[in-house]
Amino acid sequence: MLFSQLSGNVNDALLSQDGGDISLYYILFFGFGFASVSIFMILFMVWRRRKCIVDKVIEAELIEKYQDFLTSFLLLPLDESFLGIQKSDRQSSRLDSKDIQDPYRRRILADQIYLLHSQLSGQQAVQLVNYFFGLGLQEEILNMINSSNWTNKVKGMQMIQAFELVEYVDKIDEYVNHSNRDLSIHAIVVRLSLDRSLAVLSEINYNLNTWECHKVYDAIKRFRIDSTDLLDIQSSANTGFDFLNRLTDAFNMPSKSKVDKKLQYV
Amino acid sequence: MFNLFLEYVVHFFEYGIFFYCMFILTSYIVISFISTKEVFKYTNRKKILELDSVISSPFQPSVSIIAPAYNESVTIVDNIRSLLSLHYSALTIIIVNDGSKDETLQVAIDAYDLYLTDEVAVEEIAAKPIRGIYRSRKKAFSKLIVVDKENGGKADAINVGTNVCSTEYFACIDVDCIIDQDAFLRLVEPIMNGGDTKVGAVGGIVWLTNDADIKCGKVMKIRAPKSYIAQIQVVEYFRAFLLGRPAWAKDNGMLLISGAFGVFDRETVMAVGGYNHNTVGEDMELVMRMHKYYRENNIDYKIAYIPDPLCWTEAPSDFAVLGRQRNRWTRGTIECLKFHKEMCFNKKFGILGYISYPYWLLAEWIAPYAEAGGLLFVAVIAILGLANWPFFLALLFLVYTFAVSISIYSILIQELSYAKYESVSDLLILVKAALLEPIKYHPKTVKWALSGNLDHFTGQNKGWGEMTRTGFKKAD
Repeated sequence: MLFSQLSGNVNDALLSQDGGDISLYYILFFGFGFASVSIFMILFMVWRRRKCIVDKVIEAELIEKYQDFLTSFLLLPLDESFLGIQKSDRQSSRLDSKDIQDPYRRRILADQIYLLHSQLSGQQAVQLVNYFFGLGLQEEILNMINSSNWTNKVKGMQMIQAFELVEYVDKIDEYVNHSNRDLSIHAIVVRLSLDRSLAVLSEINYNLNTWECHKVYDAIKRFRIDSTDLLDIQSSANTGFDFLNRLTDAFNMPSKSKVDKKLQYV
Repeated sequence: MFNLFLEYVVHFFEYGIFFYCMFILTSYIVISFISTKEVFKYTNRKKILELDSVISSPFQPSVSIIAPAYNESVTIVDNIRSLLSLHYSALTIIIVNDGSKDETLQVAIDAYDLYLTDEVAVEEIAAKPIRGIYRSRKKAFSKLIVVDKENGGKADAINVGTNVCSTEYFACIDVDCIIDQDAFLRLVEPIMNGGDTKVGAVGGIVWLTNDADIKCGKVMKIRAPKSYIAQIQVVEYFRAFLLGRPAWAKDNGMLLISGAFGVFDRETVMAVGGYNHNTVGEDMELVMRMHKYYRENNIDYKIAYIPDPLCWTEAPSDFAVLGRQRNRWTRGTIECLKFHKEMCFNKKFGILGYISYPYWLLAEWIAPYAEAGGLLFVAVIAILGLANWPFFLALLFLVYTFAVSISIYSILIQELSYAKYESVSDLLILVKAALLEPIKYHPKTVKWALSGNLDHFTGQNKGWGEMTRTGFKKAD
């Protein structure tokens, strides 16, 4: 009697005559759903890993080819052909049309020029920038800046900064007070680099935090910006005296006493 | 009357456990998706951070590493060398010799040309007495401080280190962990980016290195461990660090920063009285107390987490050691939840009171009871011949496929974010471990958790238990 009652309860709850089949159906549906998703994830993971291994090899080969080519380009005399096909017996030093047309290869080539440029100065750096333009790779920068992915925008900004493309300064200005603070601080750094002055700091409409102060400090050091310009922005209510104080502290500049004095009256 | 009682019992198990399972399943899915978003947000942002510039920045916060050492004479020299090579200029390394019975102190003195100073630390946090503070005569090791103290356990050693250190932040680490060389550059970024928000602590991913290649204190190559027990822990760590903590940290609801590696604001830790000696879950307890302190003092704060592998450690490689570790974790969780029970559904604690605390209570503490209760229920109805086998098997199939899919998802997220395992075979080994986990491993974790509960409620204080490790494999 008791057993039959218990049995009835279990069956009622878990597999009642009127709705039990449906419950079982749902449970099996979700069970097979999770199993299918798991199988899909495993297959995707294996496919992706294999693809990564292959891509890594191709990328390594392309990087080697472009580095070799760029080195030859800088060391050997230029041919009249501006597209960089040089008078060289070394086949590896040649670019083919695929290198210029294929977006994936163009991106790698642009990256290599950018990396090499960061290690050069003087005539060779200028030569490399000219070459960059000769290949029409500035389109890559515009694509990056106009990309919906904000990290691509930053990468584009870094290239503008590296190649000192002052004509793109309007593009950068759009992002100086952007709500994405990472994007904003990169735009500020690029402006500092292109302007070679601290003028952009007066345009900021928020107070910089320690990280952003560090980025500005780093830019001032890297681009050897005259820090006496700091005095020019003391009248700006936008930038914040806190920043000034930190910055003058960091540089241990003579302007520190002036900033401190001014702070007493704020 | 008896029949009615039995009916209630049966209904409790039928519905209670069913809805509990649904709650766990749903919460796992939600937490996993929030975490995934956070992980990709971080990895995407990491590409443009340019952290190298922090090394020479005057804006970097000063940090001390506090590493308690007990009977580490064999490894102490290499471990200190590894810490000295970290990329961070405002760094002090404080090794606290916690009354080792072996030659730990002497080995360090000889290797780093240490001398006994006449420095005295102010005992802001009560701790066992300091026997001496040592510094190196060599300029190259000027960042190194070795503190010799009476034995008092890990929490006491960190408290002594906190008293000795004079930096803005301190990091506590297990001395046998390998810290990524750029770990501090990455850890201080959320602190520097905090603005007016006080960043009380920052944690990161702890990654397992069993069978990995280690060279000069650096992890050179990660591969799937050979032993099943280590493989499944790798998957467990993926679930915890990639699919769990990022979601909790997003809205400041994280209750735990791993004891193996975390950075803490010294001023706050001092204000809350340092590590608690009376629990084996001192890492979680400290974080909970910090939350409480900030909330009670209306301080705008953040307990941050970066989903980045910063610390490498070796997982226990036999069931006995692992069982002791899990028993300890369970006791620690229960102790912390009991110490801070006023947080539960307390509006003063916001997300902590309404989500984090109840979740830990239900999903961490209660889970082993629910699982064991469910199994017992099935066993009873099977013995009584009442089991509805088609339904039971279907439910079992659902739970199994769900558990496996979450584990495989965590391996996939690892692959899409950090891709530390370079070969397909390594990934397949981890997938195989995930497939076997619900059958081969999970019942053991339930058993360890139940034994932890039993030890807690019977008042058996087993302390930390002995941990034996096989040692890192050196790269060729």
